[in-house]
This record gives sequence, C-alpha cells and structure tokens, in this order.
Amino acid sequence: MVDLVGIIDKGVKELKFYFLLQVYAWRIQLVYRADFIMYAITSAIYILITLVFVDVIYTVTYSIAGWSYFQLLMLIAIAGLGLNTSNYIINPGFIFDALWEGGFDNYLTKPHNPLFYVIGESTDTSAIGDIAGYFILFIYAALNIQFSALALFAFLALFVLGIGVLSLLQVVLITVSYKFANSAGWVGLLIDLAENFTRYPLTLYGLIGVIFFTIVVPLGIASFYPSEIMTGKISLTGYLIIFAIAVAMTYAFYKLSRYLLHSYTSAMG
Amino acid sequence: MPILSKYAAFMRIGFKLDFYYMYSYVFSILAYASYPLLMLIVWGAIFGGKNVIIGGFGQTALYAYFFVAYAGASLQSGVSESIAEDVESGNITSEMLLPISYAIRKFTDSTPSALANLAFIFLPIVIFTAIFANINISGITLMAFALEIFLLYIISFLIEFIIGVSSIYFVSVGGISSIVTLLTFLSGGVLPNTFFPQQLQNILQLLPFNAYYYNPAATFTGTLSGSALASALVIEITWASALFLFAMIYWSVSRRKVVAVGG
Repeated sequence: MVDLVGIIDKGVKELKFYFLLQVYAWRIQLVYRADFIMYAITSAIYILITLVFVDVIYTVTYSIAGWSYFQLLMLIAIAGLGLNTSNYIINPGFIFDALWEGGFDNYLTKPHNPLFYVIGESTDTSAIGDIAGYFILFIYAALNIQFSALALFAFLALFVLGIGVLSLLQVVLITVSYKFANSAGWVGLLIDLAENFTRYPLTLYGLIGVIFFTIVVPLGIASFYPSEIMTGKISLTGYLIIFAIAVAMTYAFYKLSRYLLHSYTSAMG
Repeated sequence: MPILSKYAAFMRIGFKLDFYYMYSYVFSILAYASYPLLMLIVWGAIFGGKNVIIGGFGQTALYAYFFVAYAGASLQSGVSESIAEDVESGNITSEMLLPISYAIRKFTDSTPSALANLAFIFLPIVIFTAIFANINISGITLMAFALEIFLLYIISFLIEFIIGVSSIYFVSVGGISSIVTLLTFLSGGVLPNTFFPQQLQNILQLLPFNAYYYNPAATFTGTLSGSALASALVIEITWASALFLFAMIYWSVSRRKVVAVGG
C-alpha cells in the first residue's frame, strides 16, 4: 500500500526547504547589488543585440525555413526563457565541485533528498535578468502573432516539462563527468553550444539535426516544439508524440542521475 | 636570467593545466567552431544559392569572415576571473609577497592558453578557411593580419586585467566582464560591422573592441584594406598603448587598497 499522505508530506517539506534555500540565495545575491545590476544591463544589451541581428536578417529575407520575423522572435524568446530558467534552477559547476571536492557528503547527512538539496543550493540568481528580458521579448512576439488559449495551455505544459528535461539532462551530464572525467566545464559548453542552434528552427539542420536536438541533446523540447505550438506549426499527433518523449526522458534522466550518483565516494568534504 | 626562468615555469604550468582538462578543451574547440557553422547554415538559407552581395560580403566571404572571427575569439584572455578569485579568496596577499610582478605573473598565466589555442584552434581554422574560401592574401596584408592577432591578445589581456583589478573595489566583477564581452560581440561578433548603419560603424571604429572580431576577420577576407586597414591598425596600437599605461597606473594605485583576510 502506497503511503500517499506520507509522500505528500515529504513533498511539502522539501518544497518549503527549497523556498528557504531560494531566500538564502537571493540574500547572497543582493550583497553584490552592483554586480547584479551589471548582469541585468548585460541581459538587456544581449537581447538588444539579438533584436538587431534578427532585424538585419529580415531586411534581406522574408522568412527563414518558413518562419516569419515575429515567429522567429517567439522561438528565440522561448529558447532563451527555457535555457535561462534551467540555468537558474541548476548550476552544473556547483554540483560538480560538490561531488569532486567531497562537499556532497554534507548533503547526504541532512534529512532531505540530497539531489534536491544540492540543486536548491546551486541556484544561479544572476539568470533572472535574462529570464526577465526574454519574457519581455516573448510578450512582444506574442502580441504580434495569433494563438488560442488552448495553444497557450499546451505550450505551458510542454515548456515546463522541457525545462525539467533540460535540468535533469545537466544533472546526468555532471554525474557522467564525475564518473569518467576530471572536469565539468564541457557540460556548460555543450549546453551553450546547443542553445545557439536551438534559437533557429530545427528544420534548418535537416532530419539529423531534428533527431539530435530532440533525443540526443533534447534542447528542442524546451524551445523549438513549444514555439511550434505558439505559432500553429505542429499537429495534435505531433504534439502528443513530443509530450510522450518528454515524459519518458524526464523519468529516464531522473533514474539515470540517481543511479550514477551511487558511484559517489566520500572525500571527507 | 633567473627571473625569466621563474616566469617560464609559470608558462609551463599554464600549458599543463590547459591540457589536463582535456574534455573541456575539446568541447571549447567545438564551441568555437559551432557559431560559424550555425552562421553557415543560417546565411546559406538566406542567400538561397543566389550570387548576391549583402553588407559588402558575398556568401563565401561571409562564411570566411565568421570562421576567422570566431577562431580569433579563442585567443581572447580571460584573466579577470582569475584576478577576482585571488581578491575574493585573499590569495592576492600571498601573491603580492612573492618576489615577482603580479601583473607579469598574470600575463604568463594567461598566455599559454592563448598560444595553445593559436596552434590548435586558430591556425588550423584559418588555413582551412583560406583553402576552402580560396582567399588570396598578399604578404603585407598577412603581416597586418599577424599584427592584428597580436594586438587582439594584448588589448583583450589589458582590458581583462583592468576589470580584474577592479575586483579590489567591487569584489565581484562578473557583471562588468559580461558587459565588455557583449560590447566586443557587438563589434563584429554577431555580424560584420558593415551590416550596421554608417553612424554606428563610425562609433565602433573608434572603440578598442573592433580588435576582437571585426578587424582581423575583415582584413583576412579583404573587406578591410588600404588606408582603412592602416587607420584601423593605428587606432588599435593607440588603444593598446593607452590601455597599457592605464593598467599600470590603475594597478599601482589599487594594490595599496587591497584588504584581505586569510589567503
């Protein structure tokens, strides 16, 4: 018999703890106020540069792979929102250091889920500027394209799942790094590299590109496919297939990261 | 020259550290190649096989521009982070007690990475691009290009050094560093400057950031030549000298403000 009440109680307890970690992370961030403002300015400039780039492109063409100006802005906004939300939730370098230097011991001794705890502590508050910037871009693009309330709901469901896939993928890559390599710098580079590609329609890269960014490095689940919903470019069947893939990946990445974490050996951190 | 042999030892350690993190190194090579590859795909779709000139560039020249610009980006220094770490951890006090110059120490720490990237990223990409894009480059232009590559490293190191030293006042300088990175990105990283309105081009031309992407790549593709190239070089040399003087004065003033606990 599954103890449903116990599971819910534990979940609520973990969520309260996560909220406390968030408060703590923000207090630390606000100590470095000048730096925080600089990051916010950087985000604004970066999004401005993106707009300039897209503007220049659309002065010489009407569409890229069938995507109009505002549709491409929507894709860029969703890709940026997805990646930066994932960056806010999880900082790969922090978790790798905890494993590599033995700091993970601390998490194992506490009465909380260690994976959840270390993810909570790795919060990267500096990503909030990018999230806000891309959200404004999202609103701007959304005001210039037509979509239904149902499409918005379907978008949100897949987008949240996509962020989960992306965050758990990073945990898997970090644990793989811990097991087989001596640094995790490549994880951030891989995600950055893939992010550049997912700012454009995956169909530009042919079938191999579509498969790669859907299954191998599934950033497309948090960017391209949710954008297809908002721009009316995906059928119901296509949506259900992608949704099923996202659910399967979330489960598989969670199990895989738990399995790989079992190889952790204490370094007396 | 025992003092030089000390700095040589730092450079040797720098090389070893660079190659120790092999996975990160291989991925950094892929990351440098990825943006030009992406631009190749995106601009391929925009040109659509038509023989047109956009922003002063034909399709092949534009591809060559992006490959050389991003190969050049691998030579940029990232020393500000290391200085900020020294300040934040308090290690800077131990470093300052050593009988060597902290500024030169940081230069010798940062240079091996640039030299390794020059040999394993920059030169292979430039040679590959020259062959496939059929770039014919004269001896004088090649010398100007080599000088620009040298100035790229020097200017980026000096700007990074100044940002790093600012951590003595601000502790965390990631934000300032990000803004500078974006300004360099705007100076030819996203698109060649010739795609922008003339007034913006005129402003960008006077800033030191053109040394990062636009000047070397545009020289290589032949877009920047003759008197425009000469004036770009003069501006770069002037900036390098001014930044050097400022960096030295800034460091000698700021070192007296260092306050650290532990280290």
